[in-house]
Amino acid sequence: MSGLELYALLPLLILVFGSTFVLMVGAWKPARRPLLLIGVLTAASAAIAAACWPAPLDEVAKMFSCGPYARFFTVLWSLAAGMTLLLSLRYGEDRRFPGGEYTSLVLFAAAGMCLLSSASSLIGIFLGLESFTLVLYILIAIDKNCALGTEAGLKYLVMGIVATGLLSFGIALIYTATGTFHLPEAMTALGTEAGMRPLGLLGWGMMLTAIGFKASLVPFHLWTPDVYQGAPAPVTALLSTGAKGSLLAALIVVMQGVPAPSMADLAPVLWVLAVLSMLVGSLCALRQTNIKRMLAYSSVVHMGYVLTALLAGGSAGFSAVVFYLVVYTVANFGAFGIITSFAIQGQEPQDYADLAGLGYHHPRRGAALAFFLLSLAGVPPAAGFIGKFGIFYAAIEAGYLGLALFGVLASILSIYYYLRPIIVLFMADERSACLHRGVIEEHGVLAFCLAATLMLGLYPGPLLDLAIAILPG
Amino acid sequence: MTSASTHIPWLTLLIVLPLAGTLLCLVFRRMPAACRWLTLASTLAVLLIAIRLFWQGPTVGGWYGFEDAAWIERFGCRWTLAMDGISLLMVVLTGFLQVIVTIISWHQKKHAALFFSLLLLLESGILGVFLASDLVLFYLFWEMMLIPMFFLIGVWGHGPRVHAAVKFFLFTLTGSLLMLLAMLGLYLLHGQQTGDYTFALAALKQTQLGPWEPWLYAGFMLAFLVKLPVVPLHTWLPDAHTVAPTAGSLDLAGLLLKTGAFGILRFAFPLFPAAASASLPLLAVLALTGIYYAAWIAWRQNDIKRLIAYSSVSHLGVVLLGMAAGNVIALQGSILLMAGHGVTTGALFALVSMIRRRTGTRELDRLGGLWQETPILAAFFLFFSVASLGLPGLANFSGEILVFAGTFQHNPLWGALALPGVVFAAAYILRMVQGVLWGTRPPGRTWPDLSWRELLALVPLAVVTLWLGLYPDPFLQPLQEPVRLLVEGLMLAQGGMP
Repeated sequence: MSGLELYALLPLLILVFGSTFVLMVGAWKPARRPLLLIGVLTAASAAIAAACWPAPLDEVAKMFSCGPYARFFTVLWSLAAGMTLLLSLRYGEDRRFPGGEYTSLVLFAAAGMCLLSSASSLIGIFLGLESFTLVLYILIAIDKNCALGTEAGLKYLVMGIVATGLLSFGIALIYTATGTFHLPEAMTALGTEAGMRPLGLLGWGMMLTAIGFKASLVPFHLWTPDVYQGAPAPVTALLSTGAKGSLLAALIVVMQGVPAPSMADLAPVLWVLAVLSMLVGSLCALRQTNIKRMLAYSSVVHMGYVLTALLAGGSAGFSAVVFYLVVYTVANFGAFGIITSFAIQGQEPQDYADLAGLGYHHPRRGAALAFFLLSLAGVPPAAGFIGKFGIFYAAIEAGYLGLALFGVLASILSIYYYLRPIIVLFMADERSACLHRGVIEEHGVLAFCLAATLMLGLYPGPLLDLAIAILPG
Repeated sequence: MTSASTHIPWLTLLIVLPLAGTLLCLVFRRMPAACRWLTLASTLAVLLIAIRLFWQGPTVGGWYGFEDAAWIERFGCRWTLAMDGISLLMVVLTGFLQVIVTIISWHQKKHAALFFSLLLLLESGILGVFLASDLVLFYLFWEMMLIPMFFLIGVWGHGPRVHAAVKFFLFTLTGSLLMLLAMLGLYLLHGQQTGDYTFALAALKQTQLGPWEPWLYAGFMLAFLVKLPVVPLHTWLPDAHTVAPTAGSLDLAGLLLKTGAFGILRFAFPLFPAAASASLPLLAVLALTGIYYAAWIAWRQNDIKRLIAYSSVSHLGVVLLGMAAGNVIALQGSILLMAGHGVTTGALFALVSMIRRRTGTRELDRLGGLWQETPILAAFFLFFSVASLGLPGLANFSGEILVFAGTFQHNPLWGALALPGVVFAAAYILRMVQGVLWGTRPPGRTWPDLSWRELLALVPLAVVTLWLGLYPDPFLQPLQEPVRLLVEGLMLAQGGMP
């Protein structure tokens, strides 16, 4: 590996070496707070490195691209890791997280997500995906005294192993059919080579199933609510945004290479997955009385929306996905961040009953939570509206009017389940006790998410242009 | 067509001022008194700007103002605000009613700062709806009205408030999401035809719609008819009114319903003239159904607030009838009736809350005898009640008579069918007046008559009611040009001579 290639991988190296460094230091000096802060600094410097020094190469080892697209997501997931660590400062103290391991694992997960988003070969996808899911198994179950967390970790592990098996088998089949791992070529070859095409399509089907598990598309979504509920809230934030977002970012690169005839075969499958995710996710979310479970089902619905735009394709569709991922990440971090900041001694207020009347005890965070939920629901002036607008726009432009109509139906249903916590926050007859006041780091993260959600809702132009400009190919 | 003579962006100011008030109220949330005065100051400022624009008169082509700035280039959305005569009248109405609402809610105790900030946010959204001339901008403001209203009903309402608030939210949102799809469809059609991807209203009017026209029109109309509301889609309104606080009811009846009618005139009719003129008979059927059905239900109500809510549905049926007639006289009447209805119904809702505060009830069979107990309040109640049923010389009469005249001109049958509706209105209004003012008073202590603050809110409403009834001409003048354009558009689509 040449020096130039190492330089191109600089942000990732910062994350990985930072992670190792924290792990080593943590073994001798297990002081939680300094270690977490070092982790935040590492994530921030990785983001800065990715944003400020463009890579001298397009691609490293024919596996990972270093173009602006990869760099964009490197910044996003590094920031997400930084926010996760900031949110864990007090929370991790209360739940006695092992500081060194926790920080190092979060940074390593971020590195995996960045790798996945910048993958330009099937092997890259596999490496990236596995490196962060392995880490997430541990992170979800990091509190060994919490039965729910351990259960969630195990659930994620079992589902994850199945998905890994399918993914590797699928990649092997595609390799057999096409003779290459490199993405655009593998996809193009799939369209032309008539003899091996069935094998390739079978591989595709397996890959899609694996992706369906990881991105929790219906009918592969069953693990989602339990894992969301059991995992510590900051980890859930990372899991719901980075883990799914990086996979979808990689999927854009895959889909761009798919030639028209193969697309015609794939489209009905994706169509059904999108519709099922939107409808089943919405219907399940309606009945939840636990905000983390509700957000889990809502994430299923959001993946349905994103799949809609992905299916629509073209620069309109793919840029809509990129924009939506940013908006969704920010709003989700805001929502889970607020749950974290309310937690006393690691006890998160999850049931709606715990949130009753909090809008008056804690007006700023109550209003912010309402705003994040409205953003997820896609009500203007929150950013979620522009995101959804872009998706419907792409869908109609590409001729998927039916999907757009299902999207509207899901949005109407979604209003109901997003309004329920808001109603509890502000309109409940009885009030629960005051919760934690939150600390400065938590408030900082929340303020950042709030400002981003509002700004992207009112003046989305720059990010929309950027999303178009960075699209590969 | 820039804002005449000066370079002050008045229209943007109209929207930004209440928004700034919202933020300030949240900042000073520990000082309710400061919030009250801030709200009064911002609403008064809006009213003054509106009056100034009214006074200054139109510039070129009947426009009172036009502002345009870049917004989301990627989708071709621009910050375009335009004020024609219709929006001018609606903006003046909004500014006026919001001042009254502020005075009426002066002693709001429960979460005062939040309450006033939501009132101002609502005003900003309503003004935006009346001014926006870009489809996405319009949609943004259209949804922005929803959230504050949802909270006003849900937090400050009484009874099954959450149920009503959610019902309101779901009904309106369903309509508006379908409108969003129609907007996107229209945008893409226009872009494919001209290569110019834009959401500007003026450009989209030129689109060749082909077979899509009825569908797109239906998408828009559904959103507007839910808001109006027209009879099969009206069920959210009585529920919302019954539980809403006084300020909420006033804004709901006085302003929010008008946004639906306004949307039809500003967007649905000009964008889809052929589908619109084809749908006029259907609209007339809906309007006639609304007039009678709502009047019938109103007649059977025991809760006077619910009665007035149904009377709103009935009145808005007359407004819709005027639009269905689609000629100059009827349309002018419709718009005038919108203003008249806003003022009189708003006043009635205010009076209901004053009565309830004194007697503790809104039930007709428990009320009575107010005429002897509180003569001034009773006089105002009688005044606005007869104004509401359309007594000549008062606000609703001038609008209704124009609507009926225009309807007879267009289709005598519709006119003949609609006219007895006035008798129905008289029936339920007089039943209400009789039940509240005469008869035996409910037992209990005596009640005070109107306080000076209540008078301060009611007297301006009464003055405007008289003005609209006796000399509506200043309000009709600005309507001439936009209504003429509307009618021309509809006539051209029918293939007739304008």
